[in-house]
Amino acid sequence: MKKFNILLAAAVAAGSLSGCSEDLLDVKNNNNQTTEAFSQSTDGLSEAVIAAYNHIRMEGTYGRVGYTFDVCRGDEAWNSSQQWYLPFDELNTAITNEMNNWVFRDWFYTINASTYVITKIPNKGVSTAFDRLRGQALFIHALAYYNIMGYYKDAPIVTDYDKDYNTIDGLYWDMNSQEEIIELIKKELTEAIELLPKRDEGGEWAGGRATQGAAAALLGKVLMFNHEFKEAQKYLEGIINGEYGTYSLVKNYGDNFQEGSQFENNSESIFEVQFLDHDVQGTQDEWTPVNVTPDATQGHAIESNFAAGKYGGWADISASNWLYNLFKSERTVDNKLDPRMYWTIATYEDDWTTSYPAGGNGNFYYGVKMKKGDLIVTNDGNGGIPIAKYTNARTGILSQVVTGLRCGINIRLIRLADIYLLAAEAINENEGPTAKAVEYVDKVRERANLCKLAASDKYKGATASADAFFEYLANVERPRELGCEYGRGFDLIRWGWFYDDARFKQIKDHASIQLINVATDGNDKFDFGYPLQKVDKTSYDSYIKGHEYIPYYQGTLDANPGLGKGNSANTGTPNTPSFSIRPVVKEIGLNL
Amino acid sequence: MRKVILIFCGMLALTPATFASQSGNRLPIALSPADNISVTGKIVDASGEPLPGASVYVKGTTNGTISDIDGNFTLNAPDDAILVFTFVGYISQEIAVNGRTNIGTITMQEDNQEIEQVVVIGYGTQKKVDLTGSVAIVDADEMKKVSNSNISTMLEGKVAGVQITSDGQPGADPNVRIRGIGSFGSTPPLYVIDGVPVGTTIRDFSPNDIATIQILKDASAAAIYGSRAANGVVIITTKNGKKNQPARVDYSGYFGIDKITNNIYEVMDADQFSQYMGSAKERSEATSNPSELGAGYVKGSDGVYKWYDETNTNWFDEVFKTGIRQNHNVNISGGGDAHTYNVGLDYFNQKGTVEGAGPDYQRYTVRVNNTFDVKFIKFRTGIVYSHSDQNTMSRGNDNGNTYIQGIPETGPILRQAFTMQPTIKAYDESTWCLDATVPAAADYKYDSYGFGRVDVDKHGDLRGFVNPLLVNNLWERNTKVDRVVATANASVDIFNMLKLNPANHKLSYNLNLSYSKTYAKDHTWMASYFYTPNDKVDKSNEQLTKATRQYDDALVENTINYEGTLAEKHHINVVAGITYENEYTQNFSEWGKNFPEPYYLQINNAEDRDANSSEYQHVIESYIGRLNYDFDQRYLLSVTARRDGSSRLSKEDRWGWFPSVSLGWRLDREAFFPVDEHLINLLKIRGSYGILGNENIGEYAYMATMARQNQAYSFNNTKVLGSSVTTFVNTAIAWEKKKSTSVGFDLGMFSNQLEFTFEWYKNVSEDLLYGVAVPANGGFSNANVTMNAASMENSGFEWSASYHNYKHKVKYDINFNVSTLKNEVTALSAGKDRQVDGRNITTVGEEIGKFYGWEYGGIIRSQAELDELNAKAIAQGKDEYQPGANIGDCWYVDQNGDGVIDADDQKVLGSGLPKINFGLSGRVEYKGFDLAVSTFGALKYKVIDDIYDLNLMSCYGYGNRSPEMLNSNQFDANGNYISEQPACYLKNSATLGWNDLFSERKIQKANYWKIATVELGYNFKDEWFNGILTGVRAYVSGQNLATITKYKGYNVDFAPGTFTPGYNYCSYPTPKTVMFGLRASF
Repeated sequence: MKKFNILLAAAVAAGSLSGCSEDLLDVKNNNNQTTEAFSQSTDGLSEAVIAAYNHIRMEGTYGRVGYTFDVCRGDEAWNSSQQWYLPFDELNTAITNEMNNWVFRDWFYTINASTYVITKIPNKGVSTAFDRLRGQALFIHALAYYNIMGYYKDAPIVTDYDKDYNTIDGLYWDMNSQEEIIELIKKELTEAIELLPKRDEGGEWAGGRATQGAAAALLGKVLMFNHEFKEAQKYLEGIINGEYGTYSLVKNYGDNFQEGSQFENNSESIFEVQFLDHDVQGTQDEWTPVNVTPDATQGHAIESNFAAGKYGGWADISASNWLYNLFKSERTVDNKLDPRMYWTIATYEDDWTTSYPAGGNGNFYYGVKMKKGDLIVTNDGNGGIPIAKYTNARTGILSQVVTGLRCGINIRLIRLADIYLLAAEAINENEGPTAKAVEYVDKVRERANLCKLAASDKYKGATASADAFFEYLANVERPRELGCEYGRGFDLIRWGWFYDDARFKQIKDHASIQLINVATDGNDKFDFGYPLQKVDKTSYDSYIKGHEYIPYYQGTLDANPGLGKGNSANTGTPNTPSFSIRPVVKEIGLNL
Repeated sequence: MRKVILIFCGMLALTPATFASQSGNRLPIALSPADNISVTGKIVDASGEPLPGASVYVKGTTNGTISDIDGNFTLNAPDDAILVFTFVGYISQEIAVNGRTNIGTITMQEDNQEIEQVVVIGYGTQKKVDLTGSVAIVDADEMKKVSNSNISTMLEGKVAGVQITSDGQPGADPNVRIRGIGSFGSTPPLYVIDGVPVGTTIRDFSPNDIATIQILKDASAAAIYGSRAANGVVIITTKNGKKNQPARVDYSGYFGIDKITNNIYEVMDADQFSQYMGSAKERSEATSNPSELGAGYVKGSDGVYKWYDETNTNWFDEVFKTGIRQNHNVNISGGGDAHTYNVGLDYFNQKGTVEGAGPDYQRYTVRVNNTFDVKFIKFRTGIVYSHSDQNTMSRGNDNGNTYIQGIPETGPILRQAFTMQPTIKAYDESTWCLDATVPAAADYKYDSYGFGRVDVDKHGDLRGFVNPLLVNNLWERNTKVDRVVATANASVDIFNMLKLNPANHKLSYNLNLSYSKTYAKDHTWMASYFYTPNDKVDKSNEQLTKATRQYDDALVENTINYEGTLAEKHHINVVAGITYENEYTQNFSEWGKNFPEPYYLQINNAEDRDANSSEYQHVIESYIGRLNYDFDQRYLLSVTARRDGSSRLSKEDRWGWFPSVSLGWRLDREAFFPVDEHLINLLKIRGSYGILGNENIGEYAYMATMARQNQAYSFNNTKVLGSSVTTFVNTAIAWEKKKSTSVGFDLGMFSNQLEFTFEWYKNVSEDLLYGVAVPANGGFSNANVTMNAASMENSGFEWSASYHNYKHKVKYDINFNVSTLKNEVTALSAGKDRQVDGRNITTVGEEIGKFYGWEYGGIIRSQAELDELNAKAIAQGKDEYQPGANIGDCWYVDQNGDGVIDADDQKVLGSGLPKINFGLSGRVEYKGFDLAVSTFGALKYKVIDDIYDLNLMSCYGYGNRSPEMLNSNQFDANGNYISEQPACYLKNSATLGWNDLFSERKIQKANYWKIATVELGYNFKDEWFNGILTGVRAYVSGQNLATITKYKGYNVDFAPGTFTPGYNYCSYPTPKTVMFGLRASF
């Protein structure tokens, strides 16, 4: 017994002695796959690229504010709730406003996920599958930086996951200039064009994945932003000519703003942010990056921001009177209102009958049939003309707003009509208003059932000069075609209109507002006129120079010393354009 | 030299219990028939040295004297007298005179019992006098004479530098902090029970099992537990039987009654409240803040507001009830030549003091300890099983304001009990079905379950005021824990085994094995109810959660211990060893939503169900070594080194060295020491320096993981799932380190009858794990990442003194301790110099969590004063100094001089950490009676009380208020504001709630002295029970009877959050308890 005890003790002692080796401390995490163990094959990296796509539909990207902040920044729309969005409409947000960070945060999520793939597939040529994964990641990476430089001007560039994401100090990236970011985007998109297939390949390539056409179109837009009109013209006309895939304008303008397979990913759509149709969504709203879930609703909340309070919407953003009257400035060849107005602005108009415009349901606002004299305002307290785009106000599929991340209408982020207008603009910049430029504009006009530009009573003077043609594009055709869509704020910046007194006065006029409280002032006070009889304010009255960009949130600057003092909005520094700004041509459009 | 001794004698005369007859002064001679003779003699100690100052007296009289400088004495005494010789630190002697005039030399023997006290120090024992580190020894026997239901509360106020703060909920774990705040993470000490580190909580152990408690406070003492000892170590040993003792049964038990003090807060009754509501409404309207007041508040023709019906609920009476607690313990022990046994059975039950499903707590414990001496091996085995069953309040201060999807924010039950309107009924049968009056209730079967509710028409649309009785009766939070800890220890005497028996050398090999298994079952249930259209829980949100947590902990420790004496005066004790601990945790949780009524609470009855599970492993390997050396017990040295590896830390950083050294010098043993050892038996100077570690973070924190298949997108309207790295992980997580320096001295006088300890310490905590902000450009979902970024310093003085005198019929002890604390945060993280947590701010270079708010100026009394303030704004190009402020509102000082009061005008308003803590306890015995009083307190201490300062004194809103607020809204004939309290409104529409801004107004002085325990006992004489029972003791004990303080609030000794000291967030009140107890052995 005694010996046994000694032996036992010795055995345990020996056992534990020999047990004291390093590998005992290497415990295994059975709850989650570690990053090292994650597959770097096509299977794994295919999942990784989906994560990058996932981030472009989040709240700070195209799921809500990453879209609507630019709508607000533009002169076609204003903040009718006069709260929450107000500093992003007035362009004077304080650096302590945490919302400044939302767009930044979510696009840098996107950058994180796409950089992962770019780093794991560092070169082309390994396999077609890898090339296409890299191409998609490059496109999304470039798209993220396009937004970042358009919203924040300067930002840190990150391209190497293994180097830049490893340590906390490694995350203290330094600022890069807008010019450097644009060079990066151009480089990445040029490579993506090589790597990606055309949408003609079909399947998911025609169903939402980034394609060669998407990369070429985004490159065209970036080049336009950067005033590289010759290069831009090359890519934009290339798209029109089918070099990057087959595209054509859909017959009915309204097909671009409805959900369902007959409308979404249509022939006009070059890059489209995918949302699940309302009847097949998951159950969880993913408001923040923390509660990401496979059971997400996968819808957007742009509808909630646009829809009228009376119908349960959040009533935040309305169309301007200027835009309303722009639509009314020219009638179709059969003397009707421009059908684009129906899909952009939800007012009662005599012309809207169930048979007109094509694809529309007439004078409907959600399930409610409007009569003459009925008025729906966005916000009961402040008025506002309700926006119809990317809502179900006109689609007839829902009888009330379902607020939250619930709207299933895909965002046609880049569509061929935009490319036609950009191509016309590029040609005008390079050669003036040539026949080719007018032909592209006429493509857009004709789809809207308008006469050719040359025959337009109102706008035939547009071809008189490059300045006039630009004025027509910038203040007539682009707002009518793309009204209340994301992009107007980018346009104002690239045209330099915040930096020219006459232009700034012009956009202040466009964005002039009369505040009407429907309950106390009565419907009859609601004024559709332009210029307004009574101007309570304009969106840009309290614009602070430099604030055409969103300032960095103070907490973001605190957490990363490399960002320094932030951007022009943080320091209130006026930006000065490196190009000449086209003067106002008063004859064209609804200018004062 | 001898003069010095005399001076000392004179000083000691001040101490109360020295036998103090004057030298040479004869006392009046008792009238006695016996003949008096003059008796002389000489008193010496064991070594033959004379003992001056020793007392000699005639037994049974007050006739006596003391010895002179040479130990000689002369005393007139009857020739048949018996002389008693006493001297502190020595055993008293009695000698019969028997007619002798010279009784010769009397040799006094030292009373070594106290001096030779042995202390368990971790992997060994040491004589108390030889300690060089900072070890607090708690006299467990003394402590157990007073009944406590929890080990930690036993220690409250007993040890300098150990602060125990608590929440009064039954079963709640007190917050134990040793020498300040050592870490930004969790700071409880490590508990070691019978040599086994059991972690940082000892909730489910019975205090009745304790034999000894030691608290290791500094690095030197705790270094042997290096990796986990940064917050200090509490070493507990449990009872063993005694050898050759026949079986003995001890019973002890008590029954107690708990009551919550009801006069801490005063609140308004229905009449007062109605008047207050009316006044607040009128003030709101007068300042163009139109507010809705329920139609139930009716203004009479006399201008007084009344509630429309008879309702006048005293919520205190409705919510609180009398609690009971009881504890029964049976202990069987005994032993033979070679073995001992001890079996303890314990039952504790506490029914809480709040109506509803909780709180209450009960616990069953069985402990079996055995020892065996088998030749040269000593075995000790212990097994303890405990089962506890705890119901907590459905909404406590831990979860009352937690946002749960679809669940209204009801606030903690405790706060609701005071802020609920007296115009709401406690119970109301009609609320079972509200469908007739509230259409929205039609979807609910039971609505408000017969509890009184807010009637929106009558009370107004009150949100968040949910009847606490409804919530606490309807919702359940229960945890049941089963825990088994089995330990075995074998100690092999190697020389004995080898049949070598060197006199001065001992070598033993020790093996400790322990396995513990803890199985916890959680049950939470939140039933649906309809209270008002805005306060309701939808069927789809009602939720039953059942969870199990299983913790396994295996420990193997091998140590070798050598103890030897070389050349008589060199004593060496060496410990070396290897330990390995492996913890494994499994969690499983399932939940169901939407149940059919009546409720059968099983997951399968739910309409929607989900579950999750996880598992974690934690491994620590350690190499330990310690050398204790002393020369002639005069020069003491202790060197400890421990090398630890932890699986929680990244591979490159997971091993850490934790060395320490301490030195001691016993001056009293030096030949030159001038004071006689009978006066000063111990004077030791000691100092230590060492490094301790901490790795109290979760598992796998350094591993970057993928969020697999978590991120959804779609192509062609078909869902696809993606994976990415979503959290930023710091792959280099290393040990937190605490560098501890301690200097002190111990003084023992009169054989330790009087003991002093003084100590100064400074702990520098470095590489503290702290949440560093992850830059947003990283694109990760975690806002913070744990890094070894912060550092902090704590320093303080500790002083304790105890005196006991058992030499007379009246026996007594007095213990006093006091400690100071200075805390400074020296770094947070790169580029970050402050962290704000609500009303507390932590700034680099300052103490953790200071109060942060606005500097109060006063009340704006008149339009002129308001204009004067606004003039400052206008001078800076602003409109208003305090936008929306009116006459009667508070004004604040413009710190940055920009003419407007806003968030930038906040400043540090003071500290919420008590600077001085003290404990004072005493015990006195006379004949069979004994009385013990234990108190503790804090000075230089300030507190914000959530209920009083932030709610009952709030100037906005619809909740009940302190009657003091009735004084507000008073104006004189000139329109000047004359109330002491600022103006009150129903709603605030100014940019900031001016009258509720956090300022000095909301900070209370909280110096306190708490009478924690008073116990009166009587010990019956054994002969009364004919030997059937022995040691019978009956007692009555009162706990928390009184607290001397100006503080308005419960639990001034509450447990605060790390970053929010001084913020009492609805701590559950510790009740006043009266207990009746009995002990007996047979």
